[in-house]
Amino acid sequence: MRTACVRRDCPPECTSMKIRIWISAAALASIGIAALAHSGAMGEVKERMDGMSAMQKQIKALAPIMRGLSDYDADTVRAAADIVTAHSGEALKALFPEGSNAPPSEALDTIWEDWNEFAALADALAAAAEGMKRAADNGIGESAAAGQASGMMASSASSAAADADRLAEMPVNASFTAMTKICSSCHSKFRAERF
Amino acid sequence: MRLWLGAFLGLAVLCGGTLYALIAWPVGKEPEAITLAGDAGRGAYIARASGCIACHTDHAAGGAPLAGGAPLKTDFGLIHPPNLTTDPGFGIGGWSVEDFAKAVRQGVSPEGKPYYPAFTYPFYASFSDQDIADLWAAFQTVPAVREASPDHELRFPFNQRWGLKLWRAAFLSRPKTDAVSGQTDSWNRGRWLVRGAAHCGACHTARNFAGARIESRIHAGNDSLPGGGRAPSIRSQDLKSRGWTADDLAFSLQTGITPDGDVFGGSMAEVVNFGTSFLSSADLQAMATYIMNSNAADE
Repeated sequence: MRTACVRRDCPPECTSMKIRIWISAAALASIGIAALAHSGAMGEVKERMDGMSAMQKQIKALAPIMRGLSDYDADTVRAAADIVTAHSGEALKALFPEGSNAPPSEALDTIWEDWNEFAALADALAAAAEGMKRAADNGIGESAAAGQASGMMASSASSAAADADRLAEMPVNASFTAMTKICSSCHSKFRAERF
Repeated sequence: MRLWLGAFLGLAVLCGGTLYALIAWPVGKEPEAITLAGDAGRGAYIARASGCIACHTDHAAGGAPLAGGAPLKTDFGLIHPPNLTTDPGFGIGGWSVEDFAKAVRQGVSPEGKPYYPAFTYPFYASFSDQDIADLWAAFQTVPAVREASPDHELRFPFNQRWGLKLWRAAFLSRPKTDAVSGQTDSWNRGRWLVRGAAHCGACHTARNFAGARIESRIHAGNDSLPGGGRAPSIRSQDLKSRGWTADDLAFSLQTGITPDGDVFGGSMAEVVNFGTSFLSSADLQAMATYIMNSNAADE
């Protein structure tokens, strides 16, 4: 492009060049915006969605092991527990700064209204992952339903207050479901409804 | 002029009379005396399966068991699941087992008032006298809570209970829970749970303008749950095309974990955490067997 273009006495072919540049710029910008909207998340929202996906992958891999559908391997359980630990507790809380809820975030604003409860669940998940890791050598046990003969009063919500020591004593599959119950408690209160 | 006035008055009397008749029209019938001894343990199990505890306890607010649940935001207004503890004034402590039977199976209060169908009594209509006696025994173990149930906050005309008598006449039908010959015991047990006690269709079936389930859309999913959530289709062909097996389904009812490693949130998390996670493996397998091997719409 010649410097003549910036002069006021711009010849016609130069003007049309300018227009073309503007059109291309606009086209590029709109492609860029569309790409962002599709790939979705940025910043903390992207980081925490990636973290959730990483944990989901572990749950998906562990479920058949805990159901006795695939061979049991304690190292696999410990490695998965480490990944959950890395994405829970302080790491999880740090990714939810107040108001960070741009689309496509599925977080509910109740997180910041009930921050203490949310933070407690994030910590409980870290504790549960540690407990499950320590339970890895216990192997698979009888998978009793949570509360048969529990009467009218037992509340399974109390198990959300999982502590590592208690989970470490359990058969690893019981420890695993105690951990995923925390996922569920948190999703039911703090994640938008899916499907 | 006089003719018009006469016609108008006649019409008014007719309307008033119809309304009066509607308000006076008794609903439900007195159950026969129930003298069976109840088994509180079995009753508590049925209460879990039926969602009594899930719905009538405000878990999020740390409420006492069965002392009244979190309000349900329906299209018609707010419904407050009432106090079902043994308090004689605020709960159901002053009821007889027959009152209880009528409430659960027929959806009619001891005073003859019809209940709103947010209470899933249409699914409980085929409970046996033994089921009722067991449930009643279990409810006797719940400590009394002296706390009034808030009144429902419904818009006009839905706040007029007599309207429910028309609703009952138009939409109330018996649940299809009876055993089907030629099917396995497990399949039939699953049918009793899915179509009855566990009332899966209450959420997973779309509802019409009057809040009644659309029979032809049974289990095909519902985009407008109370509170704004959505329930996916649980028809066998839809579950299969999403990669679910019967074992996956039984496992997710027990744990909340889906085949892709997600964990339920929303109201399904409550269903699992306060309900189905307490059921036996055999019952969960039965529910899964029925759901994956039936076409509810054709039955």
